[in-house]
Amino acid sequence: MPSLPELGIYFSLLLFIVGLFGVMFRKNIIFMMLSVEIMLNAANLAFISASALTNTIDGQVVMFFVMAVAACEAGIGLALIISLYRAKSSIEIDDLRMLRG
Amino acid sequence: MNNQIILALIVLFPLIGALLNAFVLRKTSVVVVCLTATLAVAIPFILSLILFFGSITAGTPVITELFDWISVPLINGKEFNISFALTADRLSGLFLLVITGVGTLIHLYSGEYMHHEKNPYRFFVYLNLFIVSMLLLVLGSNMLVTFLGWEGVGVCSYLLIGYWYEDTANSMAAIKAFIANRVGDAGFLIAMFFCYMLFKTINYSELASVIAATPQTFFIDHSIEITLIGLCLLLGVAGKSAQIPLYTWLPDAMAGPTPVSALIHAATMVTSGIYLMNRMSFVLVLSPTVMTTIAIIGAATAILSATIGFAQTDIKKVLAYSTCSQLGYMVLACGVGAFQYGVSHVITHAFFKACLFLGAGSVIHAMHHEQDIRKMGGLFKKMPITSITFIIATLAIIGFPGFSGFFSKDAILAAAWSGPFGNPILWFVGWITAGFTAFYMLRLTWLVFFGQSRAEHPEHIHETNFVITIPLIILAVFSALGGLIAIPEVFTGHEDFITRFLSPVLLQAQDILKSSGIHTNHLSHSMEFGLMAASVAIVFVGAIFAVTVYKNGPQGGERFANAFGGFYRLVRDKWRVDKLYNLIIYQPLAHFGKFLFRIIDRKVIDGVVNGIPETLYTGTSVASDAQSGMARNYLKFIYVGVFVFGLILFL
Amino acid sequence: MAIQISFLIMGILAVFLSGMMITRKWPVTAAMLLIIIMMLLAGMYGVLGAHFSAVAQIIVYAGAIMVVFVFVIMLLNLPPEELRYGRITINEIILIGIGFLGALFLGTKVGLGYLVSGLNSTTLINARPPYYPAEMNENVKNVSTLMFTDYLWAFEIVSFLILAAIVGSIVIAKKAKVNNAKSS
Repeated sequence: MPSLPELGIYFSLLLFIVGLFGVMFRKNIIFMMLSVEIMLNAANLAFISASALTNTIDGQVVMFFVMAVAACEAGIGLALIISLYRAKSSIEIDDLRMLRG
Repeated sequence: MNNQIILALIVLFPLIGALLNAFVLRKTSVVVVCLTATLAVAIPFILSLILFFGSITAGTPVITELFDWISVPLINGKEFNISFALTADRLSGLFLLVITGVGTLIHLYSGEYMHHEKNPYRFFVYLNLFIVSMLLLVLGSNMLVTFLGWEGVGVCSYLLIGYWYEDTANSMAAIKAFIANRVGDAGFLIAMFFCYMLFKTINYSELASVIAATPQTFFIDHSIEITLIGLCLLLGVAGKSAQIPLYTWLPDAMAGPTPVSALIHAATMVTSGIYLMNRMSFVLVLSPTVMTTIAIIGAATAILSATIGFAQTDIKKVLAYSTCSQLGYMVLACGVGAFQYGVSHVITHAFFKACLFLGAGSVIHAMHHEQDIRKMGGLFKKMPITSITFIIATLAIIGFPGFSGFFSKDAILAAAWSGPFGNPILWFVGWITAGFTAFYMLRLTWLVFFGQSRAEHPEHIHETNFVITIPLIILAVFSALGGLIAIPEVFTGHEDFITRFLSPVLLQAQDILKSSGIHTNHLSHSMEFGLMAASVAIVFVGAIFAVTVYKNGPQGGERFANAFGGFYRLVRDKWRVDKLYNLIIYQPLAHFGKFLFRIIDRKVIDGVVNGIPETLYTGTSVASDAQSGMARNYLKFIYVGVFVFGLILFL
Repeated sequence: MAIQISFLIMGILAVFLSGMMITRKWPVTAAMLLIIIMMLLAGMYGVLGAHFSAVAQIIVYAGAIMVVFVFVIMLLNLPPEELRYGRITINEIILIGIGFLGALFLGTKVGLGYLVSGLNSTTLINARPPYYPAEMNENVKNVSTLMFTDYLWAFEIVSFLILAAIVGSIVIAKKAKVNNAKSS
């Protein structure tokens, strides 16, 4: 059996993939953002595990910063969702195709 | 002021005049513009007089080296050096006086003639530029400066013929003139290249000394090249001086304003070919073939255009064909080896033809731009000054005894009989042409000035004002007296002035002729008188015939025309030369052009030009399809990318 | 051993619940599941010795961020027809498989492989005094010491980022209102 930090890395991998699938296959922006949160958490778990694996605490500091950035992302993203919903009466990602080439 | 500076100023003044008119005075009245332009030519005329009677007549050429124009180191270590230098020797000096003198009068005349134009400054800018170019042409120390002027006069001629460019016919005439000139220019250029190839210089004086120092065997070895130089020069001359086969542009060039016809297409530009032949005489005489060809072309042009002159009804067209014919005389003179008589005819022709054209312009001005001689007549009483000057000039051109044309033309005819390359057949052609000239000129004069008035509103016609008549009077005086420069030996007992005056320029050519065994057959005095009498006789015959036929107006000519039938139509249609050119040159080129347009341009070039963006568009539309705007798709791309990246690292 | 088993259970549960979460129909349910996932993750952090991170995870993530989510979800009050699932095609199933494999490769080979090799090398260890679970009770002190010394610049920059995010979210959410007011 692998040690705990190694297990943590594997779990973070799985969580990340699940989050990725969520972003990829849900059309609802709120679900996409929730999935992004899962991905960020997976990254955090990887940082913490790496921190334990290497016996350093840098990973934990970085996890704190990631959390701060995630808070920003959530704030901006949710504000965008609100204004988008006002403008388009829809939060389906496929309805937002203004970037089409 | 020393002579060098004067020479430079002569060229500089018209240039300054052109610039002033083009950029400073363009909004001012026609009087200011005209005065500026006229002064810009009149001052050089005075300077030319100073120069001419100062040092040129004394025999020392004035040379001004303005700057090094082209300086290229060659592979063999030498340097190809062409300086922008001006040389005024006796030949240039004569042309200088004609250009600036006649030019001044015509500038003055234009002030009245172009009075009603919207933007007269344009006209005067072109005229001044023309004078600059023409001066460069005759003053250039080497072939390249001459070529610069040669091109410049072509451009100015193009601009001035197309001055009334709103009219398509004028633009077409301008283009025709320009293209015909280009053909000639190409000939001149090739001749220049050959000259450099053979003699390693294109400077006239160096060329002369190189040829003088070159052994006879060299010329024999390179006879083909030398003949080619001569023929290419002849092509250049044919282009500028309207000789067969390129003469067709000159009659069409009459679409331009009449002062232009007088200055460019009668007095100066068209005579630049004669200047060039004089300047290059020592090269031309190296090849008898070239000389004979020149003489034949001159004679053929003279008689061909004289016959066309019979049937023209446009007053300016008649004069244009007459110009062609007279230029043919000059070329004939050069071709038979009597270069100096070509020059003398240039000078007398400049006076009387300018006078004729300006007279015609005066008539046209008075008739409110009516140019058809069938609608004129009876103008003698209404426009006495114009009429008298026109008649004097007519007498001069037909060679009425005592007038200038008589002496200069007879000198040419005598040379055609007895010159180094002379031949009685050439004389005969010239003699017949003299009769033809008398016929069509008298026809013109009679129809315009005598008989009944056939104008629609004869009461409106009155004499033009003094700005027009003063140049006419001056030119008429010179037309009458200009022959003094070529009074033959038989009258005075010593060599004529022009031969003596130009002998330094033509000395080398004569030396070359002497050394190759060709010499002038000296005519006995009785023979000379005989030839003279013959030409006077045919002039009278032609003149009287014309007056008899046309004494009752143009309908007399119709009977005459009916009698000749097919021949008349052929002449009226200008021997169908234009149609022939149209058929053998224009049509194939037009078809070729259409082919190029349809196949090469449309298919190949447009295909390539349009094909590149089309291909790119197709390619990018494929790429832009990937930019679906659907964020989830982008994510899938990232996903696959990450997978590939991981796979690469894993392997 | 008990710790290890609990870690395993928490990890498996977290992955399972996240799978549940992304397949829910109602956003509120998903948000609640996410809160549970975050708490499980906090427990895993605690097991790994990152006490400060575990607490911050619960307070900031599960407490603050998820509240905002739930708040927005409630604010929008989406009708059921807005909550469709995306249709999953065969291609996407293949994509899932390939991606999973790729991620596995990447994770083991690069992530873990690098970390393990880094552990054996001396670079990481020599950089800073090693951190051992024995000193776990000083975790908060160690983390904050590092954060306010070596990572001070990053900390300040993140604070500006948060400031910008606050202003930005206000501007974004408010602008539409101004436009609406103008248009009405």
